Amino acid sequence: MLKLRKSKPVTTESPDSHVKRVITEEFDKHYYCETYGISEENDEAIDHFLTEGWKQGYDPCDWFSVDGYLKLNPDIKQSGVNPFFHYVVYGKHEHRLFKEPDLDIAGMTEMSPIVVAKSFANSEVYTEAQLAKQDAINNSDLTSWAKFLDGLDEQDTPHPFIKFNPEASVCFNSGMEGCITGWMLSAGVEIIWAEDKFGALYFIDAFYKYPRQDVFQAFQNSAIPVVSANLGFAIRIQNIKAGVELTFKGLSERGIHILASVVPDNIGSNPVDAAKWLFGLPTPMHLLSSRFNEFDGLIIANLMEARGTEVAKLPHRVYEFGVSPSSDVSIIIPLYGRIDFVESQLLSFADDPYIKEKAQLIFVVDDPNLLAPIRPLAENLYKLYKIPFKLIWGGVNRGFSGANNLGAEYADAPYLLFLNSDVFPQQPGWLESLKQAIESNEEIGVITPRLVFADGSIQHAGMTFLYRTDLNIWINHHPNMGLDPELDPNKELTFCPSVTGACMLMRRVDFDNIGGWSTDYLIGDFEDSDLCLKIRNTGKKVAYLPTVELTHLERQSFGITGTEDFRTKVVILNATKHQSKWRSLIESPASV
Amino acid sequence: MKERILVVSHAHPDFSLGGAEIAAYNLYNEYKKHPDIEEAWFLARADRGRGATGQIRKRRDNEYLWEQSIHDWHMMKAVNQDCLTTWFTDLITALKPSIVHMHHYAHMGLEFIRVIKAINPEIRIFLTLHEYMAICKHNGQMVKTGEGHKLCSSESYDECRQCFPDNTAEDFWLRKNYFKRHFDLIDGFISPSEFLRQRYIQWGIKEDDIIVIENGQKDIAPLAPRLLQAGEKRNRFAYFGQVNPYKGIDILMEALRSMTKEERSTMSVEIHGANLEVQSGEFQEKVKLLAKKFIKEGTVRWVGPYRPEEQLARMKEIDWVIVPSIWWENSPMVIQEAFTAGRPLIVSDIGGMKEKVRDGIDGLQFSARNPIALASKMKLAASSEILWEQCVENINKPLTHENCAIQHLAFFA
Repeated sequence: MLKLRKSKPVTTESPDSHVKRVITEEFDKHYYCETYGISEENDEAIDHFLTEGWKQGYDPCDWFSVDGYLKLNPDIKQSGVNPFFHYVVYGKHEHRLFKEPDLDIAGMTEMSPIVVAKSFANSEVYTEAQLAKQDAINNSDLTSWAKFLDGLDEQDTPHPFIKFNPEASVCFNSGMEGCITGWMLSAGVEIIWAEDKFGALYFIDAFYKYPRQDVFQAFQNSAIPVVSANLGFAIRIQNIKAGVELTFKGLSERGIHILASVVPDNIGSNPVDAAKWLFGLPTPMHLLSSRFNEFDGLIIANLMEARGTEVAKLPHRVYEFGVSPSSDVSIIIPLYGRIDFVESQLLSFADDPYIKEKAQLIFVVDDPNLLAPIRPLAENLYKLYKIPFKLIWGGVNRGFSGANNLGAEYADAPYLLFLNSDVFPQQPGWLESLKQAIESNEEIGVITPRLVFADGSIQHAGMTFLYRTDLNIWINHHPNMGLDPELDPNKELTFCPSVTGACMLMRRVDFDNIGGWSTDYLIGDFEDSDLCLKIRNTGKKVAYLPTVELTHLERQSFGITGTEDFRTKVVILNATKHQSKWRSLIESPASV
Repeated sequence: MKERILVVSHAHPDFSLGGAEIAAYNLYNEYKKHPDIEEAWFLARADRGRGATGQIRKRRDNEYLWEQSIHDWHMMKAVNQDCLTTWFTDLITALKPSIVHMHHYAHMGLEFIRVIKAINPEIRIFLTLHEYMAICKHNGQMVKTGEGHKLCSSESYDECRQCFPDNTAEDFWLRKNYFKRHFDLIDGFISPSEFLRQRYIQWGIKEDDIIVIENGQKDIAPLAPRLLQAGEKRNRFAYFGQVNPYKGIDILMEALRSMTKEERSTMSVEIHGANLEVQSGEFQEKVKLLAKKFIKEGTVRWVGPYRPEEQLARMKEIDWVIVPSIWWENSPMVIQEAFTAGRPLIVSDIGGMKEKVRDGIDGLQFSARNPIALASKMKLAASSEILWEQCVENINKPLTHENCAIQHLAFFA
């Protein structure tokens, strides 16, 4: 709309001098004088422009076109107002055009996005872009890409065949990983990258698409055709800056178009928080595994690795209660959530001569909340039971694998027993029996006993892998769970595809050989089967010894993280990682 | 060859006291004792407060609990499908039963029947029917949905649709077909009443495949008659069981209301019932309001819930047991229990009640759902000098647990 304000000037300024004052800043005297041969003295040039210049189509500067503005905005022409004054004060804000688009661009705009996209795909600039991009990726150096962009014009028109609409943008670990989600319509091949205001360039590292029915419905009549609802996107960008605007740009034959800008929020460095955020992206369950594999998993793995590096730097605190005997077996028990189990375990250790004479006991506190109560408890229990033990605190919750690895750092014996705090021996001699079984058989890499629930039914009698076709993952399975132990089909030492990590004995040398427990599973799942598969990968066997039985109050020390739904997704994430490492071993039952 | 029997029940009497699970558990205990049985087990569905995990746990030697439930009551589909081919299969494979005797599939689903036959088609499966669940989607009650709990005497796709307007007639074809296909895998059916047996024959079970075996009872002598004071009559009535709308406790209360205060003063009624508090507000209010007045008056004593082992003692001090159910019933356990105790009954004249209590012989029948009819039978019972003795004399001793098991084993053979 043309808005000619008739408001009174606040000063006694005349209308003419008001107009003059307003355009002075934008008026290019030098250009005007040079182009139209006007004297540069005093205000001659600007007065000339205001009185007659603009009426003759003289331009006030090199970027504005008086003729163009009047032609494209007939209402201004009719009003008789100075077009440059109007543009500076009103037209700019009303996004009025003052220049007819270049001919070829005008021609392209009239073409359908499909034709433009097709033409782009066959264009020289596309080929060059591909080469420059490939070069940048190959050399991990964006210089060639920056150089390529330098030769292109930045357009102020929308991209001719891409609509790019980010909705949420976050970064993790202060920008080490970034994720932007939203939706995009495109009629062809996209060349998209991002820049920040400091000139840093970013390629998109991973691009995951997912269905957006709402967008699909909304753009049914769009010039950019939508064929499927797969219009949602989540993109991964690494090493961005938290809180700094990131501008997405896209390439067309005309040059560079700004697509959108975002300012990513920092979510923090905890991989679990990142997972919670990423798992919020909608994806049908059966596609989660592939999504995790190509998208979320990359981000989470990177954050876990970064966290691992930081955790490794943390100092340990070691409290020694008494002096352990020179031992056969180091028993490593991570403590998490509950500490009332400790005394119940000591009760049975105190009755077991083998443990008292031949075992070193190591408790790893893996829960900052236990730090305060554990020391007085340890003090009292040591006085009562006279069983020496070490108490280790690693500065932070390290998870099941991390805590076990930490305990192993302080273990002195040639055998390591990894024991959950909720596993309770039924009678003395169990550890000696387990140790004899593994000692007498070089083939065995790791050995576990039978575990039963509080009600006496089987909790663990070896583990197998089950394939879930609906989720495309292999999961761990406890066969014969819930049965009376008398019904266990295995009565003697048996080799299994995998066994539980709740009570697991192995040689120190094998433990070191496989590099200990893997710490790349989120929260805790699949660590035991992963360890078993590592052992099997070295040619050794995974054994189950049903003649030794302990009681396992399963799920009382774990399973307090997040909602059911989040848990399920964590299982899928970890299963995806697990099978990416071990698929061939899992699928060859003969290798047991 | 000796049989190995797995009894499957939808509940364990340790946690739930319905008639069906008690009958199943009693049979299991009899099977265990029987010399022709090599071994017997009891598997009961249970809610252990953690949802349908599908997991199976040992309850005690030879007894297991199964955390399962139904997500689709129309098709009787189990929530946890994974466990059917894993832990449930492990259990069947390990136990190696020659017979699976099911009582109910509610809360467990029908799938496990197919799973058992897939593990070993030689395993014979028998099902005791305790209700009309396959015939009637309305909790197997054969009572119409909606106002008035009208009795239903036939099923058809269109009639069933009227009770469940959200379903089409075709949905009911699918339902029946699904049930029927699973029932086809079952080797034989047991019904505790002829009434229920006939209903299932009409529905599609072959006549030769289903027999009547009454639920077993303790092998004990009847209780001595209640000692009467001079001039006192056989005027003490009692109700035993759940207090829900189908059991007709409101009919009993209405019957009392239809009497004059003087008539009521000639008798007393004890309510030994559980679960009024979980019933709908309206029903609860109605029963409470009526009962309140008669309790105040001294006619009604609200004794409340009882453990099964307490029931016999509670029958000592009463004369008649009333079963005023407004649905068909199958074979109400309380009828056999009353007969075991030597107590005649006053019952609704429909379904299993009509079959089990012979009018004027070992009890009285009244026109079902009619409080006036019940009132007149109560007045008759409370005033007659000879009726009670006559009825008691005619009571046939109920089938014992042992003979019940023997009859089952004969059928299985």
